[in-house]
Amino acid sequence: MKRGFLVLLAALIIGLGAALITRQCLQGPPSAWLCHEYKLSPGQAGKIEALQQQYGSRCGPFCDAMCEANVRLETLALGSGTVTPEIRLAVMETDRIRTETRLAMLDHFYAVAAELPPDRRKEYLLKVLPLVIESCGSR
Amino acid sequence: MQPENDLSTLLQGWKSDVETGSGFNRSVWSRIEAAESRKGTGLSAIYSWVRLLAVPRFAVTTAAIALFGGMLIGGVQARSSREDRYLLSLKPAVAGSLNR
Repeated sequence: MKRGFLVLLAALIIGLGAALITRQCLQGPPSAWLCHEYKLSPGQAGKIEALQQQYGSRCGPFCDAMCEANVRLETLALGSGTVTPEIRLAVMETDRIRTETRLAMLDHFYAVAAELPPDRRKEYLLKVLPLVIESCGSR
Repeated sequence: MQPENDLSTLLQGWKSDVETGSGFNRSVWSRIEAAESRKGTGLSAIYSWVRLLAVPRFAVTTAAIALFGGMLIGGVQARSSREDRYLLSLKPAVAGSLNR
């Protein structure tokens, strides 16, 4: 009986390990889905990968700046009972960074869409635009 | 009147050799046994299956099923989560961290 349970345990571990390894091997880079879905040539796939790298290096500083601006706003907001000119400026700063980030995202989406087949660009934009345009619920 | 007398004599002389309620008892016991065996079916089936795994032939088969099943599930998962992974990679915080 004990041996049977050991075999069962080993089988569970084998199954779990196989699932994780297979998933890891087949996933590839995030842009792999794009290349597969839009049937891109290896040249286009290389361009998409380069765009993705470029996008990542552009977004990193925005995220750092946003974190700093948020910390500053939080510190000011906690140390005050009213909306002071400093708080107003700190809020405007976070909005400025957010706007810059959204513009960088939009720029990247257009660059990627330009590499896709013309008849499927709109389909791609419909998938990614919710990341920069907030939904208004049912409207 | 003769046949009627014969019948009366016969009825008077007849004694039942069947115990009253024996059928009832038997049916009650059989129902109890059936209930007992039903109670143990699920667990005993699992135990007998686990005991079967100790046989090398079944152990190897089970391991092979687990291996291929795991690969299949992993493959399906990888395919189904590709789009979500791409969309997630576009979020500035994730894109920035992937590039560091």
